[in-house]
Amino acid sequence: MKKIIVLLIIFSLTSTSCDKEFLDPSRPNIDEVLSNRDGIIGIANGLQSLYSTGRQSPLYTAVTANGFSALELRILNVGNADEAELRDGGNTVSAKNGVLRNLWTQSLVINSEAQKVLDNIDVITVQSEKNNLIVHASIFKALSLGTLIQFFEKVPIQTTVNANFNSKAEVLASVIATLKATEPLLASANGFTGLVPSIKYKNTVYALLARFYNMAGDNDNALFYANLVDLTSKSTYLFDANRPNPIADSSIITNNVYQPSNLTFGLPSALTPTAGDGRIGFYISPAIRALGFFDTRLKLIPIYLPGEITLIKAEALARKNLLPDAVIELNKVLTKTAATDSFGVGANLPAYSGTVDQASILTEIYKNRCIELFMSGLKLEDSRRFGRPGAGTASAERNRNYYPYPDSERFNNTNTPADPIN
Amino acid sequence: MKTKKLLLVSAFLFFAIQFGFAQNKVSGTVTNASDGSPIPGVNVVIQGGSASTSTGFDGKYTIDAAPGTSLTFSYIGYNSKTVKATGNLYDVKLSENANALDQVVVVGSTVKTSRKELGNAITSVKSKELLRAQPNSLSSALQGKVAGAQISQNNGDPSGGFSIKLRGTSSLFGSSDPLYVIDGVVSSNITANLTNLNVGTNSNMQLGQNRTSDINPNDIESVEILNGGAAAAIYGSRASNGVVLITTKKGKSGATKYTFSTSTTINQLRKKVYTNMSDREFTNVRVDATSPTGFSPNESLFILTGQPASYVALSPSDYVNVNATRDPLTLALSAGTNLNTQYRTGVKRYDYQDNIFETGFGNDTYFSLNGGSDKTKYFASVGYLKNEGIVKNTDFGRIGVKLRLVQEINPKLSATFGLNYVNSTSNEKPDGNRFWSPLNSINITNNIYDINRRDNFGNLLGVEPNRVNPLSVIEKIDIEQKTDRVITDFQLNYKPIKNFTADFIFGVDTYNQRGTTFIPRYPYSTVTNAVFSDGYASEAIDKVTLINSDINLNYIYNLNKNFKFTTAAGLNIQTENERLTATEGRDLKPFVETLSAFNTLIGVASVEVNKNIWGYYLQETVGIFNKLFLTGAIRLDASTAFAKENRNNIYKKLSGSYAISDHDIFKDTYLSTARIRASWGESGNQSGTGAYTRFTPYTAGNLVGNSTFTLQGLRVGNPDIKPEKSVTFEYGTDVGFFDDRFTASFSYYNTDIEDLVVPIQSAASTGTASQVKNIGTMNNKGIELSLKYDVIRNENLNFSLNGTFSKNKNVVTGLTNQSFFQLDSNEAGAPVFVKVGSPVGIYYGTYYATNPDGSLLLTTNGYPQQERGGSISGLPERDSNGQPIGTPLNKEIGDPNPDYIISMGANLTYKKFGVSVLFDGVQGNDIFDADYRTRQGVGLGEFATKELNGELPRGYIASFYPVQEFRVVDGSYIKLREVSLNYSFGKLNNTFSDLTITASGRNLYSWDNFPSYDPETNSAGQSSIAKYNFGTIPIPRSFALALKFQF
Repeated sequence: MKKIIVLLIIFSLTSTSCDKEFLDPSRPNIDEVLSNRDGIIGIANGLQSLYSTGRQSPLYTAVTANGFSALELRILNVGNADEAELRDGGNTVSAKNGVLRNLWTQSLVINSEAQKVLDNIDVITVQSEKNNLIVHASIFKALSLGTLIQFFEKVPIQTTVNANFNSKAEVLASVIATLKATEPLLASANGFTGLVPSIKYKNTVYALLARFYNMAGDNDNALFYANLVDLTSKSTYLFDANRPNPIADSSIITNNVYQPSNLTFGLPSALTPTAGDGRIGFYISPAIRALGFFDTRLKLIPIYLPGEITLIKAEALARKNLLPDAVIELNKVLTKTAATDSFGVGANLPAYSGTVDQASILTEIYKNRCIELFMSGLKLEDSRRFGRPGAGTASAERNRNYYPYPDSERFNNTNTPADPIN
Repeated sequence: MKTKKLLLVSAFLFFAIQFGFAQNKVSGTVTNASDGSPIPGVNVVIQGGSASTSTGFDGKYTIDAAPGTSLTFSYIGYNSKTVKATGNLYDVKLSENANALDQVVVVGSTVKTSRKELGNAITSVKSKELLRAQPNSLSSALQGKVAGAQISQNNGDPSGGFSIKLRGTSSLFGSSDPLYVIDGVVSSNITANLTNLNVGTNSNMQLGQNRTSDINPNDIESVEILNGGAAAAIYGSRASNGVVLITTKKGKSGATKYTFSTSTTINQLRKKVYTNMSDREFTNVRVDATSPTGFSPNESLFILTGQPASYVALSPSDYVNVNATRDPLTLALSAGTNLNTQYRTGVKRYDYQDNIFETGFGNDTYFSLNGGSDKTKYFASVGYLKNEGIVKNTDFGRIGVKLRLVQEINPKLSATFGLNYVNSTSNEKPDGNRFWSPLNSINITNNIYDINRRDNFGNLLGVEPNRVNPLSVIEKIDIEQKTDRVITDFQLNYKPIKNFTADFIFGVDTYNQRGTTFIPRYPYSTVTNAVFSDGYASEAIDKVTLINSDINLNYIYNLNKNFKFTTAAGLNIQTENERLTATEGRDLKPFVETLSAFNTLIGVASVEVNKNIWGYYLQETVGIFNKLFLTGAIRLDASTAFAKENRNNIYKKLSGSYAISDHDIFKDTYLSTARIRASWGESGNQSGTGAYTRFTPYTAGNLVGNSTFTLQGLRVGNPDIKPEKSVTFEYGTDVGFFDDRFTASFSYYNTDIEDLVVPIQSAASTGTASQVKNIGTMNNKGIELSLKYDVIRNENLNFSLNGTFSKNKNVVTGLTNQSFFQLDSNEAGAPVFVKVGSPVGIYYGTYYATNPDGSLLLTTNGYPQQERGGSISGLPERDSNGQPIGTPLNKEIGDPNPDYIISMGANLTYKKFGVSVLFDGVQGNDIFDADYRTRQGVGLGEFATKELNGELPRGYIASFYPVQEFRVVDGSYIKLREVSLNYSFGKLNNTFSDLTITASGRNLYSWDNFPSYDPETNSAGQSSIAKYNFGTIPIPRSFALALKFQF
């Protein structure tokens, strides 16, 4: 009998031999992911997934926040409290606003994850794959920081504990540097199987350089890079049934969160779109529901529009006071038809006939940006850059200038600056 | 074969000896006076001599003594007896000790001790107390019966989950639930969300059934609740939240006895909430579509939209008091200044509660038999429970079969084998937190729609746009869970020499839980993708296996009659394996009602968790003069959840107990029992740490056919994670007066928890949204008091009162690098925070602006408003008009932890008749009631009525809408938990030895100020910290009639 007990005890001890290293079989650990080609490619694809899909994504949150603050959108159900808060604007917008927290958090995580791809790129042994991945990660790094700085006065560039906040000029300089670093690689960056195929890297890098130089006020470089963009090339975010267009899926199709403000793009009466502007019907239905890139779950959203590039050229030229050249570029947008635009955005209007002075032309460019680039998330920045009446002033065209920093940052980073008043 | 021979030989020898030296031997059987069962291990000592022996498993003893010698029979838990053996054969009956201190309590699977040797308090609840008012589950049976335990039912579904929290919250991350041990088997009480997969998850929400629901209370003999460190040595780091030791019924030798019981239960909604029945409704202004300053079609609070059931066309004269412009500076629409005030009358309203609630019926049938011979004892039972919920088409069923066999192999060795198979089934409706659950669907729908309208084919029609018709939820959404569970144990109890026992336990708890959800396409087009207008199907299976093997060794050494040394040592090994797979799809094909219906896959989750835990312990108790007992223990614990360098941890414990009343000076005084006790102990907690917390996991996904890796939950892991450690100091006393007619037990404890595992929010500038760290410290301090007074105690009439009172104060004492953080973000919008200096889980949010005298600081238009001020200073600021300016400010606005827990009960028996009542409750706690605000916002609530009728100005609801403080309400309650009336007929005839009829009620009444249904609720399920109400089904009021036959 004793033997049996002894046997049982030994059995119980050996059968479990407990001191093991269990790994999670369904979720790989970071060092595994970062030390492997498929892992690096997966993170690169993940950047696009984080940036463009879901209600937490910068794409949804930037278009949403921008849309309410720059009056493009109206709310349908105030039960969507975060969106309702943005609609009300002013000091109603709180530091715990979920849309803003998501915009902030996910953008900074994308910035950090993109840096991981760049830091571990030597895991990739095939040079062309390496080049593609550097460009891909740089684009999302630039997009995340470059988008964030349009909504907050300062943004931390570095990923670290108690990160310092950088000024807008510093952030834009960093974004531009990230993009410029990819220039030597662009010739060989044409994608490869396994990497999300929807971005034409060369044109996208040039287009984004034009956009951010434009924001930084560097007209020469903005013009230079805008001129490098092939306007027939199309780069978009990519969606499928499970990762659908987030704006269509959350708001427009449900018809429960928001829709465009009205048929005049939320513009003041002085900037009301010309009757017959083909872009009205392109973006907004007569029932005032969003069309354009937002009316079905699988509609692809462009990363940039050809019209944006042309208007950047017009703006740079106008700001350089080369007014006739500016009008030429402006007219390309005004007279463009749906058939001649690669995304089908066509004003199909007569050429510019207004006063040819810098102020009038810039105003016309602003108006056309508001219409051509409707719900692209760029209007808040445009409204400031073109000196439109800001929040807290008479006949304000935006209800906030910049947003308060999310509590999640303030509570955990002692370097968080004071919130702007408006 | 060899054993058999050996037995034969020894039996022969035994008899030979017996006959050969008959004149010098006394032998016999020691049995329990109450039920005649043999008592093993009884000490038999010759008075004044040195010879001693003890009884075997069969209760038999033989001692060298001449007939006529005085023998003393003693055993813990029984009154010692000294008798003159009048012959060679002498049987003895021992009666159980009524003295509270000598009561035997179970402190580990096979480890028992007398209460007076313990340095800790233990509550023991016996079968009779558990079953008094027809409980459906063990947890409900324990409510109000354990000092220091906050036992709450989180969900009123028939299979709704329970939380048991002993001595407050001990961990921020994991469960605060105690460890459940059933007959030595470490059992799972995991809450696995298998049927509400579409509810967004976060670290704290624990939706669904928990698995104590599988245990049939009828099978339980007793439950021991070890709140403190009493079990620390034996269960180690698994026991830091306390232990619930469940001992099930065993067979007793003798003729087979049968028990048959059956009951019928009626479940009802205890209370309806207020429903606005005003015939008015605000309407819309025609939008000026071309003006950015115009109104949008339906942006205001509780406006008629879509397809009203009783549409009345408006004429221009119906427009009253249109006064709407935007603030020219901020462009903000603000409440009280520019919400339109026109309304229409003659609106018909409905009370949807009548459509979703009904009376549910239940039945609980149970049959058991027990009996056995000297060597073999058995207990077997079969139980069937079916209980309908108060929400239509919900129920819970449980079929269980149980067998327990004890076989004496030889006088030194016995084996026990237990097997319990349970099949649980439930039909459910979606839990709260989603607007397609029964209660949420009525809370979010303005009650102006006739939800019973159908088309010619009988299909329900749509209601408010984007809202699900509540009847669709009741009639069409089909959710089922099925669990097959086996709890089995194998034990060997070996007693090779006197005073030494070796016990080996091998336990397996394994179950397969399967949940399916089916939401068909809605037959109306007013709903969208967001509520699965295209249908939804899911199936999830959770396979859990817990295996434990324990060895406990115990040796008692009596140095002399004054000093007794008890040495316990042991080893525990436990493996945990959980394998969960879940598949969700949408866009359903017609006719098919299973997972195969979907056209579009939403996702597949496959999770596997593996964990091993092991530990060794050594414990020494010194008994001095049988009055003072000192215990010291040391334990080593290890778990694979930690990296090698943090894997092994050592915990120590010291305790003492002093039985003052055993001194002779207290003999014949009013003080019948008194002891003081104190203990100090360390313990680890592993439950706060997941099996893989030290890793930074990436989620594998897919973007249009390309695989993606994204930081799981945007969090990073922590390779240095280690177990939480708590140090508890506890002291207390147990006293009894007047022959223990009045007894009281008091404990004070102070627990410091360090290295608290905290899922801390990170600044996104660190590249992550959260990280798990050992950075917190927390303290729980409290008292527990239980009282019992036998007011009348005589043969025919007994009347007793009892009560418990416990108070726990929880404080987060430290967080490295920061003073507070948001612990939980949830669908209900409850701002659950952890803040240094405050109890864990406080609500921290926006609050009303007030004047210095505490009254509300109203806007210039006379509305309440939220406080504002500096975003960095956090201090209120005022403009020149004395109005708040700046960013909305936050502060602590509520605390979900009760100030105290209280229970009061009374039992009366008169001859064969018995009555008992039990009240219990919690006081001083808040609840974040999301439903309360939602009902106002959609037009259902009491404020909506007032605003419509003009008793409150238009926009009043909008004015408090952003103020989170509005949603923090008083969660205190005292409930009439149990009422029971029973009559026992006693022996009816030769067939039936007893028949008892019991009429009982549960949860009959609640004294509370809660604006929704029932403050005993939690839409975060079994979460140990997050607490809020968001559409969870209230706990029903139940009445039951039960019959119990014994034969």
